[in-house]
Amino acid sequence: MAHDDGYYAIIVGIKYADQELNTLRGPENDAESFYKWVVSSEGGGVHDDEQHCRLILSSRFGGAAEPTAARVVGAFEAFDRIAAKNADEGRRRHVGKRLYIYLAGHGFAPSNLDEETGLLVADAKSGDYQQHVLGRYCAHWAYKAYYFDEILLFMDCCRTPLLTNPVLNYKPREVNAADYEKVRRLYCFACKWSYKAREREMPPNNAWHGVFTTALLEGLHGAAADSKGRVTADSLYRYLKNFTQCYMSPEERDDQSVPKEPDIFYEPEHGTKIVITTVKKDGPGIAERLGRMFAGWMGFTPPSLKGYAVEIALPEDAAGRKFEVLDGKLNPVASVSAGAEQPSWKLELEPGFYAVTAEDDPFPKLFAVGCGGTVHVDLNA
Amino acid sequence: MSILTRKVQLTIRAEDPATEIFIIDGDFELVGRGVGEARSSLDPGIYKVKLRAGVQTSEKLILLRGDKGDEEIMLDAFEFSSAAPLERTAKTHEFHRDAARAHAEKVDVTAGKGSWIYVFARDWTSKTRPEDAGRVYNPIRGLSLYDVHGEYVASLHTGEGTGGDWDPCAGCNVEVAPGSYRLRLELPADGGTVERTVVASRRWQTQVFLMQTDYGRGPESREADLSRGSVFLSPSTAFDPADPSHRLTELARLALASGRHRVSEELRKRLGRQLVNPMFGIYGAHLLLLEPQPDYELLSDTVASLRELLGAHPDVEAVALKLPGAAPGAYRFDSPPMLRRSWACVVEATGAQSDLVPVESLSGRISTRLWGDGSWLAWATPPAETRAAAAEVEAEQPTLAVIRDALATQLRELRESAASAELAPPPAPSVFGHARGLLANLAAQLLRSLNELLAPVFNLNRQRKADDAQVESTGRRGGEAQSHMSEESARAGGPLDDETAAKLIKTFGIPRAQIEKLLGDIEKRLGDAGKGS
Repeated sequence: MAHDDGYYAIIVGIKYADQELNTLRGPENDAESFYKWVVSSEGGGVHDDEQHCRLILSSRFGGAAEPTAARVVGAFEAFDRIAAKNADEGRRRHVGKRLYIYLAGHGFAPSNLDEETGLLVADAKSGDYQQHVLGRYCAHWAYKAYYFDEILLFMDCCRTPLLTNPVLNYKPREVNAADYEKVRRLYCFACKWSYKAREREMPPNNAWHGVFTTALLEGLHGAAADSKGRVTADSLYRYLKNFTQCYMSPEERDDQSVPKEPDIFYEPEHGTKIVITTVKKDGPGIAERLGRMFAGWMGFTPPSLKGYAVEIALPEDAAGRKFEVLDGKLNPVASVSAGAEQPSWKLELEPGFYAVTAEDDPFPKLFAVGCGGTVHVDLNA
Repeated sequence: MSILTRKVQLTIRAEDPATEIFIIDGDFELVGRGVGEARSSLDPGIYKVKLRAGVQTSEKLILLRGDKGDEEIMLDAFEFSSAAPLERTAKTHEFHRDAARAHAEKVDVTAGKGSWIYVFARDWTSKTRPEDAGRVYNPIRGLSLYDVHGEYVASLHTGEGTGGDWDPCAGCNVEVAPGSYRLRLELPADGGTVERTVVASRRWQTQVFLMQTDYGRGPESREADLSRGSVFLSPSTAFDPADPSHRLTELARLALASGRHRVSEELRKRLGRQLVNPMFGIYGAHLLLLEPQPDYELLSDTVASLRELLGAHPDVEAVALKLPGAAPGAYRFDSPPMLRRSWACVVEATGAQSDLVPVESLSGRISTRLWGDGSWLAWATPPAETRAAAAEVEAEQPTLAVIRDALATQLRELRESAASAELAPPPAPSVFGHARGLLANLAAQLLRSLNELLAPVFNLNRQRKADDAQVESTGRRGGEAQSHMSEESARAGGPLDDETAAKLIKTFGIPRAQIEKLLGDIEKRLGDAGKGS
């Protein structure tokens, strides 16, 4: 995706160092990772300048309890000025095509606004959560104002409920554009209402990241692409619903009290209309599709939109036997005749469901591809 | 592998009829779903079957070859997490199940006749004994039972916990007279006390199961997780961890907690006139209400069955408030229901029937003191009933203080606005100016957001028109306007119109009578302050 003048981003990562709240190690890393994606031409297509992309990291304020809510809101307020300027110059009171909002840090959910999530800002205190930014409200504000044609909100925050309803029961004033319902929205929250988001050390370099953001960025980098190479609201939804849990620790995956899916909202009719990015321009053409099909029949690994390393541990008596990988529609996508003393078969596969089977074995081994890192399949198990 | 190309009719059945089933294809598209059972006509291929109970999920890949004709797959019971030590759940030990069964049958404390309240608390850390096991404590510590008036009934910490040095458990069965009781937890490190309702229905044993949670740091901070947990209603003093109806009840609770919007046919068959499991019935009634188009006939039958089984029960009466055309009944919610969702039904209904929650009742007093984040309605014990009652001041009730401050400032602003000579409407604020105010000062911003809401309460618009007319005719303002405002303000403590009341109830989440009382209090304070100046 080429850079687009109409794309904007507000990215916030807060780690709460030196504050009363527990320090988080993931949000700043996550915010920077999202920033790198959003300003790349292969990613979000936002110009890397102050007007188009605001990256607000708590560590960039010299130890002060920043950002405050005012600072974060100030980033949004700048859009008021752009819209006003456009209106003054006789154009529509509008800002651009798309707004990305990414917020990571401690969060909470108002108990009577179960769709909302608050990001605690840096001057919030333990037990006093009045200093916060309501993420959905900010997105909704831009939505109602019709400042953008598309609004994409991502929040990697806990959604632990608070019960002080009056403080939090705030709703946007409906004083904005009359035709705002044309705006397409995608709102993604790390977890469902009343649950906690997770962060952990992630491979390959063991840096701390949020589980949700790791899955999100994997999806945005292409794992969530549909058959045309487009990452749409629909395809991202499907990817995150299916693969977020694979970025959790084994303990978290086994813990039934840990929610395994993020909470995602968009209008169904916008599911394929929100094209967040395209990882392969125009998708594979007919010739390429035929080529891939042929390549599959011929027994070698075809090219993929987003390839994942797969290592299949072969049985001890593999030598001379033919092994085949079938995709989710049971089409053969790869095969190999195992050589003498060949312990494993390494190949690359697109996200999806697969079966690997030996020609003389009626019981194939099923596995899923789509999570970061190498997928290990053991035919001995 | 031989593959056929014709469609295959796939039927997936879950052992538990309340489990949600999803069928997902290799493109991660949802191609089938259901509750208890899912059917779909599919091409041969590899599919993922996902089971869900609440937010808990379980997945497996299946291969649909198509060479065997239509396929039917029966899935084993889903090992979800439950505070009750049920068989085939994720967090249970055999010694928990044995202890829970044994404790339920004996009466530890007799405090009345007619029904029983059985509380079983336990901890769970891992399936096998961890190497660092060795911490011994009683998981039921800090729990006691009070009646609705705050009179002590019994401590539940009657004996030692069992389980040795690993994942202890303890239970207590109290025989009581039928009625509502307050299950109180003394928080560690003098953190005060919190409570929730436990209703004892005649001839039923109400079984409350609680896991442990951390209320701070260190081993001493671990106590029962009061706002979560499981509740069953047993027709006898018995608990069977293998009872399938308990699984069904728990799955219904989890579905309710996750806000599921569909009730399967299998579950419907167990509601209505066929209902035999009252706790399942209460959850089921709420689930029916979550459906886009609730089946009110089935809901009505379910309510009727619940009344027959339990008699008067606040959670049943709360659901009954949602029935179309429900006539205002004689039932008053002097004590709160058990479920948070039931409480929401009650609070909403006070918009049309203010006396449903009397101001001085326990329900009225706890309405601004809600606590916890679980499915069960819990609250911080009202100050007059704690040891630190004398020291606790009203300002320490954050919710109440915020509401009162919000309303008071709003009233003051409206008064100043009305008394001002500048009656021209203010310029429209910038779209985000409103948000900045919120974020900079939430309380103040709340007032602004309530501006339109409260204006009708004080009839500000009407007063402005009257003032305008007065200015036009006499050229005077000031003393008369102030006097006029006082008259209007005096009405603030009186009845609200229904529409405004409904908005305020939704905004603050507290009963109507409580809001009216607050408005009256504020007006009195402002009036007193005005006299002083």
